[in-house]
Amino acid sequence: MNSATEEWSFLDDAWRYALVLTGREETALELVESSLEKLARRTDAADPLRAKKILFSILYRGHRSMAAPPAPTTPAESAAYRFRGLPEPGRSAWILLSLGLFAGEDLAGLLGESPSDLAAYLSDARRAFPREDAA
Amino acid sequence: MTPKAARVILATQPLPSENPTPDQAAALETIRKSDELMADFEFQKQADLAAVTALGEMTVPPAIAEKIKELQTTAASSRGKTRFNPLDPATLSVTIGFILLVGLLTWHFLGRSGSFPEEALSVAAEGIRLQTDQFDVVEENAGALADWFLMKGFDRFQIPDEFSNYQAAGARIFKIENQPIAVLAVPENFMFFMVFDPVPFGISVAPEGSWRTVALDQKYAAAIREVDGMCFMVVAPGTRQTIKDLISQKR
Repeated sequence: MNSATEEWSFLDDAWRYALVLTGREETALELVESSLEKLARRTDAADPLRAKKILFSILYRGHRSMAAPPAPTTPAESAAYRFRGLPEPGRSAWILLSLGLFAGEDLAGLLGESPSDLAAYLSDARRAFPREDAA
Repeated sequence: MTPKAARVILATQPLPSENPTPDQAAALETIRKSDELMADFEFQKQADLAAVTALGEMTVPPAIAEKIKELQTTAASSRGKTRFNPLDPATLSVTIGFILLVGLLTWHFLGRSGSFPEEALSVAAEGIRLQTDQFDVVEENAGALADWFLMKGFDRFQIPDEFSNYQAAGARIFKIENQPIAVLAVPENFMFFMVFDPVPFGISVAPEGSWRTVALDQKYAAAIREVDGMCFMVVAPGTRQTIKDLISQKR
């Protein structure tokens, strides 16, 4: 992988986030593809860092309210399934934070929330997450 | 640091590492003073660990990994290729700026072409200064003096038809920057007619045959036009309107 391609390595994590949103591996890939097409139509996304922000903003704003995902059929879908039902925008914030994609202040800007509200939403999502030991 | 600020800092960071940032260190110091806040923070760490573990289990299947690789290559190769978008703010700004510049230049040059050529002002001023006794006496209509000037070495003397019937009382050739200027003194209206080659003076009156007028000072006004590569200028006492009336007369 050359350096130019490496700058777009966040697409793996975009797929993971899309998998949480859609619940299906193939649908997640289609969602990433269609979001990239939307991104390509923009003239302000030549820089990969800016492109990353815009891509995740497209994914978040367009698909955070998707219907509950269907029952999982693969290990990856099962892992994603654990995030179902978590309240937004805390769920998206927590996933993007846990994937190490954005720092707290960038995340607040991307989601359009204040840092203190973001902290509260993250706390809600953390508390709603089903614990393995409780399952 | 207040407990609220400490909670915001720690809540919006991924699993605080063993080497916390100064902000995180200060926040940790603050929450250590409260059992409740410490319990919250411990819960957060456990939850974050569980989330990271769950996300780590979302391994990308090989077929999808291949597709993502293609998407990465496509995205990377299209990077920097700026497509032309006329509605892009930057493109719009440049376009509007360019149109304004073209408009400004057009306005400037059209205005310039519609005005009296500055270089002709010095010719007119020199003509006015000539004294009556500096002219050779002639008793011909202005239009009939081409041969007279030819004999004097000025072979391109030509007068517009509407000025050719004026009776001339004096004629001479004087030079500015070594370029000959043919001058007629016309008693009627105390006018001077001047004929000269505009090229050496860098004068151009376009379109050909059109008149340009100017008030020279409080007493005189001038009109100039170019036909067949020669300039004809009439200088007369009066205002710019006087000279406009004069050139619009048909004789």
